[in-house]
Amino acid sequence: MTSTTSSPAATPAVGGVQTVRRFITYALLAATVIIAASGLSGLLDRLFTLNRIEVSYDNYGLATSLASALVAGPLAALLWWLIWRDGTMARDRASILWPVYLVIMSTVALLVFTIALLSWLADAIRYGWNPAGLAIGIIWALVWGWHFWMWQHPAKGPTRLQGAAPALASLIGLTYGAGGLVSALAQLIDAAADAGSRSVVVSDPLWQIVAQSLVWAIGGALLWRWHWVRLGVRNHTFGFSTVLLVFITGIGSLAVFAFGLIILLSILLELATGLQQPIASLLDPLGTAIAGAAVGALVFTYHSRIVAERSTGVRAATSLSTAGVSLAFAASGFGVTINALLATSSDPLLAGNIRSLLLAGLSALVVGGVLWWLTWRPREASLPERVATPGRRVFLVIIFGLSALVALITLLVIGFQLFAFLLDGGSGESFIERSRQALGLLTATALVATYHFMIWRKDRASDVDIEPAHRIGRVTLVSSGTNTELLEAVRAATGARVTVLQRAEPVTREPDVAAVVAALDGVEAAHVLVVAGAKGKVAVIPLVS
Amino acid sequence: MTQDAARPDRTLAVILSVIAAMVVIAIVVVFTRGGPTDIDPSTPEGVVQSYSRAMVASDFETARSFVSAGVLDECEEADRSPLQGLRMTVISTTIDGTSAVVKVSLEQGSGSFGGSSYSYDDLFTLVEEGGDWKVSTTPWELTYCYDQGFRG
Repeated sequence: MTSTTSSPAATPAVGGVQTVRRFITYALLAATVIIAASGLSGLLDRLFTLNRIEVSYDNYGLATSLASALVAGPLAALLWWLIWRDGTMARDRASILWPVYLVIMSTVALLVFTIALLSWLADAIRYGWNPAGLAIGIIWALVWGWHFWMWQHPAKGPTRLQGAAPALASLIGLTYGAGGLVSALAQLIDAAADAGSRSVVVSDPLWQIVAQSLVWAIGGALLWRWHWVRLGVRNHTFGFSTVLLVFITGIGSLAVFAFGLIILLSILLELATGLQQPIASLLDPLGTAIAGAAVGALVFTYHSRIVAERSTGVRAATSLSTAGVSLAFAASGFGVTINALLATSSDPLLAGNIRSLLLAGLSALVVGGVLWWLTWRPREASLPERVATPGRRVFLVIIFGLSALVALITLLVIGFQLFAFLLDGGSGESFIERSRQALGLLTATALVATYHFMIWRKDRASDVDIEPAHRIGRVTLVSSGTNTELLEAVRAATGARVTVLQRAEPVTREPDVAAVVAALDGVEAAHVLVVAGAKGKVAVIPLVS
Repeated sequence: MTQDAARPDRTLAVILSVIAAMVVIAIVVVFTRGGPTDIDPSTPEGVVQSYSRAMVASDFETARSFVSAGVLDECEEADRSPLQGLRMTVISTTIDGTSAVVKVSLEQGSGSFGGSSYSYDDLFTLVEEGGDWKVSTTPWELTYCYDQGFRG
């Protein structure tokens, strides 16, 4: 058997006292790096603004920066030297703490440096050139670059949690990019609406506000594109990147799109049914609503195409998430509608704006309902192929869990209001008045739970094998390369956690995917070693644990 | 089995009918209902209603006429800000000789999505002056004088 123990990548890290040692050194390294970076950026900031500050008595500030840089800096360098030595790294490389340290520090450094640089650029557009604030961006960009280099190092980079830091960075870039674009578009639309309604506007020139938002949009887009395309996060199939893809497509972008659409619809409904409030305050969220819907749709469409190329599991998880988010909007909308209806049961001194409340609830119900109808397709909900969707049971259990949580909270509120009403000796209508929000949500939750309970019962009654039976807990696969297709196929067939050990010397004519999957058929063990050998041979060895 | 297959569809149909019925009722009731009933201004609730309406309409002269003379003597007028979408319902009224306490539930909704509103309970206290009820203290949003909220 070709052994891989000579490669440090596959050597499991020694635990026990070594874990404690690693934890302490990484925590100390993180602390000293943060302190040294803040000290250095303080000193650099003073250097940049040397001829600008006319009177400065800030000796304590200078002393803090000097102490941070000159005490923590060398300590950080010493700690890093201890960690980065060949001997230490050979022991620590496979430890989970090494990539965890790198993920945390690169994400913190990336956030600090991008926020500092982009806000500095946005401020420069408004106030002109001012070097103050630039230093933080430069120093933390260097910290980020340094950690990025360690991550990518061929001999010392971590062997676990691959793809986590770039995936998080791409999410940060996407958030800046989409947020900046929404803000720029919203400013333009609001300006057009102001011009149309002849409002008196007191603000900076429009081009300036839009340009400031565009700085974030472009900066975010570059950051995102570099990670997504150049570093290949787009094609990563690591757990972390996949979860992120499902989150962006099925939850984040859809929620932004639906929320924008709901606000837009409620504004249109208010305009159509006669104004209850001044037009300027009604049109206030118009720009954000249109821009949110547009950018949300853009992000959703783009990521849906990537999801379409992924495995059945990823596609199913995304479509269940979209159905869940749509359902949440529709149910909230129905709750608000009931709330508005109950508001008419009491005779108030001041009426408030119940009509706006109703229209907002109806908008959420309509938008969420239509999206739910399109994503869940209730007429085909119990077809055998739908019942067999991976993750469907998990989805139903999540729905029941959330319903139970909402029911618990609303019942507590209703109970509290009931006792308060009994003890206060108020009128009956005051009880409904004070608990109508909770009553609305409780009704909506009850309907959601009832429908999904019927789906659950129907699924149980059908003879479709809902989830693949897990006969194998863990698979350790020895093969010539990290064949992702093979990895995915074994994972899909067994539902087990798969670890790949790569041979130091490749063999000729390795067995194909179908042969490996077929060899695992009927095997039942907690841990199975699979060796993909030469000339199409597959060895399947059940292990004790 | 066929009965089973029909069950979720039937449940869905029932749920959708309930939702449609609620929506229609809500639209009809909310849109056909007139404004709040006018309460007799000789009662404490009536005074609270007239005073609050005047404050919401920024008609401060009318509002002033409902404030008690004792408060007006030392009145430092509060900053005015527009009140939008304020809803107020009476919870209870207690009359004790020449003073009265009206407990109300207040809800301040924002213009956009209905979820972002907040509600709380508060008190109006009134005193009888020359046979009429006059407002002494109010919830903070409806104060006429700065020190009105701290009296009573």
